[in-house]
This record gives sequence, structure tokens and C-alpha cells, in this order.
Amino acid sequence: MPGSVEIFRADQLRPNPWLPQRRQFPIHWLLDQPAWKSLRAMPLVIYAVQITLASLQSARSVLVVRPGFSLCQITGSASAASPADGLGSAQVILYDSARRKAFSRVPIILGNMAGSGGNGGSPFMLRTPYPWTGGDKAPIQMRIQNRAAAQNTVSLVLTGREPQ
Amino acid sequence: MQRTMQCNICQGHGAVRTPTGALWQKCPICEGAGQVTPEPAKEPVWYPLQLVVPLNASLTSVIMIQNEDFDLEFLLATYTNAALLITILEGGKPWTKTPQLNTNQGTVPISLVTGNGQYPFPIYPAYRIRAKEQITITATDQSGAQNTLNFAMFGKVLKGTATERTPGT
Repeated sequence: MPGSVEIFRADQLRPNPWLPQRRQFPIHWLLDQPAWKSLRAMPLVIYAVQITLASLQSARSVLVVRPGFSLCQITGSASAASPADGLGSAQVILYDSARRKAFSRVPIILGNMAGSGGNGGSPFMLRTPYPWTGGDKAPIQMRIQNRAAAQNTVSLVLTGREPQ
Repeated sequence: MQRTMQCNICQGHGAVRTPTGALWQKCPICEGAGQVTPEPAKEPVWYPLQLVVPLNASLTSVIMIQNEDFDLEFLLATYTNAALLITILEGGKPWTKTPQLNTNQGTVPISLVTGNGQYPFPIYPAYRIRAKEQITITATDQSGAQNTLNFAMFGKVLKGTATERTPGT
């Protein structure tokens, strides 16, 4: 229609006087997107990986998820104390083997320092759900690095939805 | 087919004037459709559960969803010691999975799937659990001492969705 204005933008930080209270803030805008709504009918699933690494050791692992798994939240923990550099006691990089690229350019930082990683109380939430190809041929590949000079048990939990 | 009704903000036009009145914008309520789908009334509800897990042992209990559908929004828990693993099944189907250890169901550290009252673990988008469904919780202690788990699911009951069904169907 001529003169129409698209008012919903992800970077809309200032309250819009026209919008009702529930639509004032970006998080609500994001969660109202069709991408999120389409997940409502899909079963909830929580994938977990746990690995124990020796001092300063790195390891690779794979997680076979069901085809079509949509990742929504990431949480993780590491048992060893973090070095003082603020980069956590463990770092995890996820690779999308189907798309042949890293899930994120920066690693997921886990540790027992305040502000690093995410736990159940403050998970890392994706702006939009990330669908994985999944299955035996396209598992989630992960590289886990122990940055602590001690044995470290690293847990990573991927919460999302997957098809029936 | 879902029943719809005319949006009473834009009177079905799909557009409303901006606050200054100078321009038109898409109706924020119906998002331009001119029609809205009425949703059932929602009522907040907690489903709590307490498990006193003996040292280095497992304990299972069940939360039975009552007669109306339930939109799960938050998972909350308090526990004596965080060295506690949890398995959650919905009507026999696992939410928690650890494919590297077990192809059927998994055990997950409790601190990574639950928060507390101040910072609850959000389930986005809300997950609908059907009426009379059984949520089976198994807690496994790894702390070497008795561990008391208070687990709760918070969400909204959808009024008027009462159905006659048997669990697991």
C-alpha cells in the first residue's frame, strides 16, 4: 500500500509509542518471527555431550542429531578453574559438516568465571533457530580445547526442536 | 480450520495511522491481515516436584499434566549439590539425549537445563504438552551425599482445551 511503513526492525531499541507493551522490545519481535513459530509443534530435545580432557589437551568429537534439528539455546560448563585471561577454561568450536563451515567464528567459551559461557540460568540464545542437516552423514563436529593446566570435564548442551 | 475474527484495532483494514497521523503503517495486532485468530485464555501454573536422591543413586518420579494442555515456558530447580544429572521423558519419549552414551535417552547436568526463580531456563518458543501427559524425571546423584532436588515447570494452562485421552496417546 502506498506510504506504508514497516515498523518492526531487529535494531529497534527505542520504545515505539504505538506498539502495545508486549511488542516494545527486540526480543519479543524476534520471538514472534515465523521461524520461531514454526517450531512450536516440534518435540523439544536436549542434546548433551560430556568429555574429560587432560591438562591443556584438545579433542574432537561428533554429535549425531536427528535430521532437521533446530538449535535454539546453548549451555555448557567446565569443571576446572579458568585462567585469568577471561577466555574460560575450555573453548568449543562447532562445525557444520553439511555446510562445510564453522557454526560460529568465535569459540564458545566455557568456564567457572562469572560471565563466561552460559548455564541454565542464562543460556546463550540464538537470534533465530539454526537448522542442522543432521543424521549419520552430517553430524555436528566439535573441537574442544582445555585451556586449564588441570584435568577438565567439559559439558555442552544443545537445546532445540527436532521433527517427529 | 482455525476460526478467525476481524481485528478490532484496524477494523479489518490491515493498516492504521502512525502516531503523528501522517503515514499509514501495518497494523501491529494482526500484522496486516485484517483478521486475528482467537487464542484460548492462559492461566499461569507451576508443576513442582521434589526428589530426595540418595547418595550416588537414581530416583524417578512423574509429573502428570492435568486435564488441559500446558505451554511450558520455564524450567527451574534448586538442589543441594550441582553434581546431579537429570533425565526427562515425555510420555516415554526422551527430551534429554546423549547419543554418544546411549541411543535411547540421556542424562544431562541439571545446571545446564534448569535455572532458578531469578534466572529461569527459558523454553523458546513455549512448548505445548498435551493434557494428561506424563513427564518422567530421573535424577542421578554424583556428589556422594544425599541430594535434594526441587524441580518445577512453569507455564500457562490453556483454558478450554480439556480433552478425553489416555496418557501416551
